[in-house]
Parts: sequence; structure tokens; C-alpha cells
Amino acid sequence: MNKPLEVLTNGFIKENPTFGLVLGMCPTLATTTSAINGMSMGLATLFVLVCSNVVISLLRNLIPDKVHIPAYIVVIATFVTMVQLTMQAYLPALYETLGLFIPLIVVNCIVLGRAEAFAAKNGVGLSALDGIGMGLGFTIALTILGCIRELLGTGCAFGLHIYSDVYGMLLFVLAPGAFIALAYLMALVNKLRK
Amino acid sequence: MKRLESNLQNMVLSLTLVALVTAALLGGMYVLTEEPIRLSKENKQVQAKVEVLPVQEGVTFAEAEDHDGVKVYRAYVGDEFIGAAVETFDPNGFNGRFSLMIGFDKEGVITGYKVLEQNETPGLGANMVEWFRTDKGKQNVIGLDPVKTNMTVSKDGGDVDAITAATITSRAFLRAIDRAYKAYADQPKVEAQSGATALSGATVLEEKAEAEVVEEVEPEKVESNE
Repeated sequence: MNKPLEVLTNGFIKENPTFGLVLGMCPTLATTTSAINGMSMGLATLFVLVCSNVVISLLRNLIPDKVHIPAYIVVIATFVTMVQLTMQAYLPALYETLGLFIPLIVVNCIVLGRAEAFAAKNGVGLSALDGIGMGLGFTIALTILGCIRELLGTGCAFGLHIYSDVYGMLLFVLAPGAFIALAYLMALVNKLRK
Repeated sequence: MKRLESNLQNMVLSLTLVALVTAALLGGMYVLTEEPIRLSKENKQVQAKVEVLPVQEGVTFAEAEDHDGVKVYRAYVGDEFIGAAVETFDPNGFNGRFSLMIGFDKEGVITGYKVLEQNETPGLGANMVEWFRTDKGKQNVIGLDPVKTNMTVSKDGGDVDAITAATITSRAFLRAIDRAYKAYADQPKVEAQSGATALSGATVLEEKAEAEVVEEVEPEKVESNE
């Protein structure tokens, strides 16, 4: 089996952070009110994942075991803050909708989880691939979820009107809709995986 | 290379190094983005100020007047007074404080509004961004004169339709407009002809404000209806 390829595609379906590992539910449920929000949150997490995986993989032998968690968190928090500042400066509109959840990427279990489970044990190249794979898996999951909620809730997809919003089910834009949509998607992915 | 042993010296050293490097990186990042962040905030405010006015071209603004947190920017084209952009707020939206920019022409008619900051519920209260400027039923506030219209939601006997399932937000929105109009009407340097309107406007508003004191107690009880 091709190891790098396997590492990369692992996060798509088999160990998809949202549908497989069920990690990082807070941003998943909160930010997917529209496709574009979900996708942006996914991409921000992707960036943080790749960067933190690479740095942690580089530092893995320099950090003693007993203090590895604080060290990892500091590294992750740094990248998150960088994303936050950049977004605030250049994408103010997006920052307004996602603003609250960007700092929460720090405590997103996927990021620390991959740092612990993968980057701390593997080389830089593989860790980067793992970050990309997991990040893409997360982005895809959030985009699909956002798309479904936006379509059912407001009749739009990526802001384009598909049908009149008079028929939109408001429920799907609100929190309960997130749970319902997520549950159906998870069931579907479980079925596909068998 | 084997992982470093967890003794005190190694732990202190590695943590200190990690903290130092990341702090330096973040400091640099902050300096780099400080200017763009300030600019984008400012831009948004300036854009909103012009956007809500009846005339967009060649507008100059007088120094901001502060009325209890409501900022009034009187606008002029050349020397002619054309109205004002008022930055207003309400502390009691469904999810706390929000701020708006509201435009008035020199007769006090609402010419436009823009939501600057809000945390209302997506799909419900957050619809205020578009709702009050959509021509449907009685929901459009643009073109209304706060003196001649009863600026409360139809549920409370007013002339404006509340956002579906977001009455709290709608009430707060109209309170913010009311606050803005009071600040606007309370002007120190008035043009001769618009002075009369503004003054009589202020009296009417005061009466209305008294009537509202009674009303404001009640919305608290029905807050769960959003």
C-alpha cells in the first residue's frame, strides 16, 4: 500500500474528522449556517492543522513528554491567532460571521488530536499530508453540512437563490437543524463505509 | 534522535523557547495587520455614513456630535445642509447590543440604514439587515418620517411590521431609530426652515418617550416569543 497516499486520503471518508472521528463538533454545528461559512471555517482549520502538524513534527524530539501538551497548545494558538488577525485585516465581512469561532479552533479536538496522534510520532512530510487530508475532510464535511442547511433553510446555495425563501425551513438555519442534518449525513457516511 | 528527557532543565528550556518564538511571531503579525484592521473598520464606517444619505456625491461631514453614545454626523454638499448620518445602537437586542447607521434628510425623513454590528439570531433577528428596507406590507422604514409615523411595531399598535418571529429585535431596532432621531432633532445649529420641524419633532418625541416607558416594562415578559 502507498503510505503517503493512504495518509492523505485517510481523513476523507475513513477517519473523517466530522463523520468518522466525531471531533470538533462545536464549530461544526455553530458555523455551518451557510455553505460559505462552513467552507471558510473548514479552510481556516485546514491551515492551522497543516501548520501545527508541521511545526509539532519538527519539534517532536525537542519537547520533553511531560510538557508536550502546553507546548503544542501554544504552537496551535499562535497559528490560530495569525489566522484571526489576517482575517480581521483582509476579510472583515467573513470575520464578522466567524469571528467568535476562530479563537475556538485552538481547542478544536481535531487539531490537538492530530498533533498528539500523528505529528508527534511521524516525520514532517507525512505530518503535513495528514494535516492536509484531515483538514480537507473537515472542510468537505462542513461545506456539505452548510450547503444542506442553507438550501433547506433559506433556499440558497453559496448565496445563490435556488428557490424562493418563502418555502425555507427556518429550523435548518437554527441549531436543531444542525443536529438533524448532521445525524442524517453521519448515517449516510456510515452506510457508505460498510 | 531520541526524545529529550523530562527533567526540570529540559522542560523549562523547551517551554521558554516555544513561548519566546511564538510571542515574537505574534508580535510581528500584530504589527503587520494593525494598520489594515484599523483601515477596514474605518472604511466600513465611512462607507455606511455616505450610503445612508439621500445624496452620495460630494458629501462632507461636520464634526461628530455625541449624544449619550449616539453619534450624529451632519452632512453638507458644499454649504447646503442635506441631512445627517447617525450612528445609533440599542443595548437590548435579542442577543445584546447592536449598532446601526441611519440616514435622515433635512426634514427628518429616514433615507436609509445600515447595520454595523449585530449578533442577532441567524434566520430570525439577523434579517433586520434587509427586512426594514424591503418594500412589503408595512415593513419598510425608509421614507418614513419619525414624527408623523408611529415608530413601533404593529403588534404594539405602531405603523411598522415586525420581523417574523423576531419581535424583540424589531422593537430594539425601532428604539434605536427613535434614539437616533432624538439625537438628530436635538441640534444646536439649525438651518432656519428646518429648525421649526426639528423642534416640533422633538416635542412630539418627548411625549412619545413618556408613553413608551409604560410599554418598555411589558416586552420583558414576552421575550420568549422570538
